[in-house]
Amino acid sequence: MDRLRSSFTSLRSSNDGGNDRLRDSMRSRKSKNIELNEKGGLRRSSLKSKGKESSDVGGSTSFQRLRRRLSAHSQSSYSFDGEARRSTIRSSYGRGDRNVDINSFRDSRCMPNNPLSLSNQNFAGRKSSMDMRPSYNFDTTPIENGNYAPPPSMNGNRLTTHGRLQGHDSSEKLNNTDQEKPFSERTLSNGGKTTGKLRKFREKFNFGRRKRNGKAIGNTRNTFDVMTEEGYTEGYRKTNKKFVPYFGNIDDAMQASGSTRGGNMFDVSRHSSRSLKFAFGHNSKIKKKNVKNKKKKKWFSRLNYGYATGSSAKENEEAFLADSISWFGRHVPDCVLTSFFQPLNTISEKMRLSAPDAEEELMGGNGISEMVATNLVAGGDRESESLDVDDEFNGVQRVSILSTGSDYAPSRNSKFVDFKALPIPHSKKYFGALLFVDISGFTKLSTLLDVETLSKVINSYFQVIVNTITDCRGDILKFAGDAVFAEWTSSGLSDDFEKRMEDAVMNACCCAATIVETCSDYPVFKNIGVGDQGEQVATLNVHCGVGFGKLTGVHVGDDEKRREYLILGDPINQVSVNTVYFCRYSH
Amino acid sequence: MKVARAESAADHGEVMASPEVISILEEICQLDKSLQDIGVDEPGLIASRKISHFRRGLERQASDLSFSTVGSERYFERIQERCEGLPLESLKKLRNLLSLYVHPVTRNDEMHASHHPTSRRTTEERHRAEAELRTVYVIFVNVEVEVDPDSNEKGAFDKLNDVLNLTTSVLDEHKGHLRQFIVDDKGMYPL
Repeated sequence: MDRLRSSFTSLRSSNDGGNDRLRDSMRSRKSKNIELNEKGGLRRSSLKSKGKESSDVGGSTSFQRLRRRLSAHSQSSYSFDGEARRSTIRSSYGRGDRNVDINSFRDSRCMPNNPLSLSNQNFAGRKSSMDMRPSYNFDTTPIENGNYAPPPSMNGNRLTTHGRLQGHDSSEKLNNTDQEKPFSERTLSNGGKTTGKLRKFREKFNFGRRKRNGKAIGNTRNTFDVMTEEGYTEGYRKTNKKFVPYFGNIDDAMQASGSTRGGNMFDVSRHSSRSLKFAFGHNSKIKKKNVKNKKKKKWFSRLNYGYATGSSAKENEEAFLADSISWFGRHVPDCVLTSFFQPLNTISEKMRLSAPDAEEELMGGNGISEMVATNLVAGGDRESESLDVDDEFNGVQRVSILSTGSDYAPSRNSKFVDFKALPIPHSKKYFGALLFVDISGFTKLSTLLDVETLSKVINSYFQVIVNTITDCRGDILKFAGDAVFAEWTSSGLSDDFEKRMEDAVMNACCCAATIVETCSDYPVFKNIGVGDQGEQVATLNVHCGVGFGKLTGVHVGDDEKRREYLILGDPINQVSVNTVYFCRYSH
Repeated sequence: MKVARAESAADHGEVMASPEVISILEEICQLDKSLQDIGVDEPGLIASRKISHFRRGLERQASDLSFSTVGSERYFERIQERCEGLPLESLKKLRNLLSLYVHPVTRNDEMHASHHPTSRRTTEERHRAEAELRTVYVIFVNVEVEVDPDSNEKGAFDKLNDVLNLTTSVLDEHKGHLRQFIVDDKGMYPL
């Protein structure tokens, strides 16, 4: 990597020197009646007037090939649809200079023959594999008086002088401090999908798109191959990791260069890099504000993946983990979630009560977030709650949360130590109301509808029930086939146990009444979701049972394979008896 | 059997409440006469389709209105908010613990997902991935274990734990996984 950085630096520093050498070379060529045209292409001024000398010049070997390449490049170069490619790519060959042995690269097939590489994706339409090589828009130098300083040709790649990004001044980019860094030290912190700005930018400048008959085809992403720390990835992955983009097969590149990171590496252009920065600058600003503004953070979360994305790898991983937890939270009852989050809340409350200043210190610094109770107790069973706190200087301290408490003065240096699992089996007893919703008609329905329609019906029907329960502050414990168990616990903010108990019962009863009101005699049509719904094929129905009493929640399982949260107690029998009684009563 | 019995019932759309529930309802709201006349140990019909046999007081109704403002999406947003500020290691372990309660297919999908920003899945994509049509073979096991939930003995729930662990290990041997572990009035059913 250091080698590449040095090569990149030397390449940049030697840019002018290289141009001088080439200018000298061009001047010497004038003796052979060759000169540069205004666009940097080569033409033989004398050939037009002295056709008889063409054979002499045409017989020249290397220079003629160079001329052909440059002239051919002036026609095809990077154009996707006749226009010049908008991104300019600086080339760094990992060799420290620009005098690269073309044959060695050619022989080692460092050219982008990889089907995933830039050439095959971005330069479709070229015929041969040789022609499919990318030609790179070099960091251009304005041509003055025909003294064009062509960049070296490598791998037969044509380097063009056009393709300057519209609306972007390269001189400004040179002043960009980030651009001055070695590329491997740069980071892209967009950390998300293509934003609207980038999309509009691409559409405007035709960046990274191939078009056929005016319509975008194929991959619309930037199609640079990028080697991250994790390895080879296709496309210009917008990552916050430090990365080195490269073209071609990584194994061949590594063989050719002897580098552990591949030898045929290219810096992404200032333009493309700038364009990404331009595109993601909006989000970057938002991220900075996120720290202070929760509302915008939420907005930003929704804007992207439904969760926040951080600007660093750690933040990204934390955001991903939080999102995963939220996703798993959709599959487990709230009481299970509470059993894990409760210790944190308890710690916070305890700290607030015992040492208000300490809590402020913790919440403002790395305190409460870095301390996790070791013994996670369901539902705030406070008998065994404890906390491990690692003090950087004093080692691990075990602090009993509900002991005296006041003797604990948390240190700013306290850090997370351990996160032990809930002891299994673990039980918790509490009073609560239990609702049992039994849906009928699915068995018959499954024989009448195709799978897709059936899933739509089930989804829509269950959605009504689930929303009703959650709106009534119920906690869905389990889906057992086409039945649902939900509970309302007597826990709450109120100190009055009776009132909490009454609220739980009332909520459960209201929820059940709402469910039977909205979900009874639910017609199912043949063509659900279509304008003409067709004939009614079946009717779904529901009946409910409500019970109240002492419940026991039990966590069973192990710490590796599987766990289950079970509910035991008299209310289970009550609701079942209710449904059975209902059936008998109905008959 | 429960579903079959319910299906065979003539009428649906009714809510039955246990005697315990009715006794509490009697204290906090006004009940219809039909509910007042039932026996002490009998469950009662408290709602039938659009008819409610219990009436909530004005105070209760006002407080109930606030419930509808608690949306499910808001609930899941709060889960993420609760994760804010937790250290990375804690988040990892918390995720591992929660994943143990989730269906194995969902767990594997999520645990093996890349956290790379470009590889992340949205909630919709996750739902879509789960909603696959697959052919399965189901074993429905009735485990006859007597567990007294009111027992205060330390090892009262060890039997339940042993049943689950044994079932899981046997299923692992045969490349199966536990779909659900149901305990109700009829017994214990690993599925």
